[in-house]
Amino acid sequence: MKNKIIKILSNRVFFLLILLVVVMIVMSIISPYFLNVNSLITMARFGAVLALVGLGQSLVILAGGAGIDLSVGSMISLAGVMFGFMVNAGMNVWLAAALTVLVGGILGSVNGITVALWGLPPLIGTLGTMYAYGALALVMTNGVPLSGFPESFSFLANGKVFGLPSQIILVVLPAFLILFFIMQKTNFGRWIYLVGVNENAAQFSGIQVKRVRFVLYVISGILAGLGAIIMSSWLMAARPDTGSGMDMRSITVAVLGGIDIYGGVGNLVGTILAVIIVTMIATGLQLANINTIWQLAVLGVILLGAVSLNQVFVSKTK
Amino acid sequence: MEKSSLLKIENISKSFGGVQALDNVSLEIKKGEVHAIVGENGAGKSTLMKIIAGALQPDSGRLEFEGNSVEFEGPRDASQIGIAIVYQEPIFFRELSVVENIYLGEEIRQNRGTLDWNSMTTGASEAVKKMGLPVDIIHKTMSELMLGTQQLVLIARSIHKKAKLLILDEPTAILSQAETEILFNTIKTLKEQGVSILYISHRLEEIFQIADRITVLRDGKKVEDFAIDEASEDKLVLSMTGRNFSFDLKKELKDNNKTPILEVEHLSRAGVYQDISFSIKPGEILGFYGLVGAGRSEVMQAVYGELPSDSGAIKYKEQAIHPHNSLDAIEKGIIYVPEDRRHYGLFLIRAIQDNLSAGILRRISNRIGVINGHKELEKVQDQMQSLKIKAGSIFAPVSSLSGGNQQKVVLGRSLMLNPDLLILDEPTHGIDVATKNEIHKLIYALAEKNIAIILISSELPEVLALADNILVMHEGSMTGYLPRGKADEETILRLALGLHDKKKTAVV
Repeated sequence: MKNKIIKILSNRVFFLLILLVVVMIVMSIISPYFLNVNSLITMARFGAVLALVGLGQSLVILAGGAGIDLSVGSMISLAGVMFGFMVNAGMNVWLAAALTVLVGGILGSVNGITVALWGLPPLIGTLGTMYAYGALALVMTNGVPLSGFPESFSFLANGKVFGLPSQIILVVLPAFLILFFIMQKTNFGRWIYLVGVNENAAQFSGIQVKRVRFVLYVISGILAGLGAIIMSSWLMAARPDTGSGMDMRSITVAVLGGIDIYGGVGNLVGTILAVIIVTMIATGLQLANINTIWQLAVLGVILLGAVSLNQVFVSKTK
Repeated sequence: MEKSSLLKIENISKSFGGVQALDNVSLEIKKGEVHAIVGENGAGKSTLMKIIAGALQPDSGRLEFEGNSVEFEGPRDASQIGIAIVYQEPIFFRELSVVENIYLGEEIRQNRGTLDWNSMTTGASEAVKKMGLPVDIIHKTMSELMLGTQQLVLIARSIHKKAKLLILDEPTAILSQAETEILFNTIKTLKEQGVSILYISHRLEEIFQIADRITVLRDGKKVEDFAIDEASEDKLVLSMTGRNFSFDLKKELKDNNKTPILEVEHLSRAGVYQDISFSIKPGEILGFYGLVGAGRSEVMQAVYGELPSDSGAIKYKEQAIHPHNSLDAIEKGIIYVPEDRRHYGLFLIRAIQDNLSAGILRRISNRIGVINGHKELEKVQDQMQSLKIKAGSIFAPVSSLSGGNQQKVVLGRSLMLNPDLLILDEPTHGIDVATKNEIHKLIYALAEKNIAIILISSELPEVLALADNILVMHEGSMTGYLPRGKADEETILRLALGLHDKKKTAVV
């Protein structure tokens, strides 16, 4: 019996599910407003962008080779600013949105070229684009937010589909399902794991390691582009600092979700659970009127505590 | 003269998750004795070594060292009483110097607490000198040394620690002939000084050269032990496998008038290999013999598109090709099976199925890349059956298999790609005799099916038994190309050692 419990807790997904329940209970005790439909919907809206870039980050880390994408926040900001300019130039907002996704992919492909194809260390390559993209977004706008989005566009971040937040139903859920399907059912998904576990063996088996990793940086950019569109709809403005902090938070949810920082181990369900947990903690503490500075501290402690505790259970099963 | 006992192992058992790795094993090592342990992969040799070295704790049984009962909580405990181990895949710090590696964790300090470099330099010089290595290497980093030299440095480190028992796990696997000689001389000297050696090797000839006693393990049990003068190769093989089989399977030599499938002309890469030319016909087995570091793998990886070449031409199926990556080569029907299976072959934590199907995913997926699960399962099961891979479940991680079965998985992955030209780099390196024999038979069978096979091997008997033609390399140059009929061990070895003797060499 005891062994069974340890085994369950050593599985990251089950561990996160239990952690989720614990967080929900604790937050409901702290704040009476926590468990009601409205705050749950707000939380879902709040976590949407983090879910998107967290998924991208997870894929990049999974494929190993010290893969990491520090530029996701700056990509959100820069893609958002481009989006704002396109809309202000009179372009149809939905066409502009489609182009913004493309912009995200192009920004991501720069990481793919420098890191995956040229072999720059991912930490350095994406740190470079993080600064470059972030600065470019500020320069293009002089630091002033761009407004001028049509009223109807607000629907994406504030509307509902089937009674549920539209950005979840229209963007996050489809993105997750597509990526989950790719990971489970396609050769590309299998390659991601194989490359992450042993890139040499993958290479000798005819798997194009560089190309797999290149595509993942592009996907990370595309997801950041989607995030930029949702943020613009949420704020009804394109701010040059929209994505700040997203880089570290996306890494947080990936590792909390059980993606091995060295690659090859983990799955996207864990990442999504981690996004829900992180978002609930942030919202719950907000509702309980706890200072934002403390929110970050709590997040840090939960990350350290959860990962360490899970490790303890994992090592007990060995 | 009866020597006194150094280490007694009594009724040691150890299991890993239901697999009994060691079952009630007892043995005794005397002072100044070279004690060899032999057995197929999975026989429990490594587990036994690790228990003696304190890296694993037995489930039951006891150890007695110099008459005292001992219990190790970790490798440090064993090392403190004088047990040193050099693993098959040695662990050291690549970017630290030889001196630093020799004194790692046991640095000599001055009274102030700073490091006493003078004493350490002197000590390290002595240590490497004893191993017949040049003294000037001690300030080089390990990464600057050749593989064999690294291994000798690590053995020097253990000797320098004044070990009473030195455990060597397949020490000669990466050593050249000359380095092996140095090692054997050192072992003899140590023996005279009363140091005991526990020696694990697959190479029976070596064991007959140096061992005093041989213990045979099979399936975690001790089968027999022999004093060296009671043992013979046949007896050992019988004891290790529990069955009789012959070593002298030889491929039938047939006339082969087919057009060559691969022609390599004047292939060169500065500093690695020069002017390599050869051709191979379908159904032919071409042996590539040479000592470790002769450049054989590098030539083959150039054919496979994984390493560049500077000049020369590669013709495949009568057309010039310039493969620039392995996928390119695979699509053409050229498959290279790399040597070091842990680093270049296996996805250790992934399922056996994933390891087998890794190469064919593209071929069993539809246009948008969705893998046909039924097809995958079917192909994997077929391959497991035809190679007789023994596994509980195809979903178990490949790391749970024995070394021989792991090697079969790597081979199976390549065969599933239906190669026309198969390049095998040391396919039987470090695997048990029974699996080795199976792989030899497989190689014949593939040649019968008209597959051209290039066999890179450092084992002369293997090359002589299998190959139709033998190409010999020495330090990047081709020193001979002989049909098997004209080849004998001595000629080939001389060519591989670079001892040119034109009269003896039948270069065709």
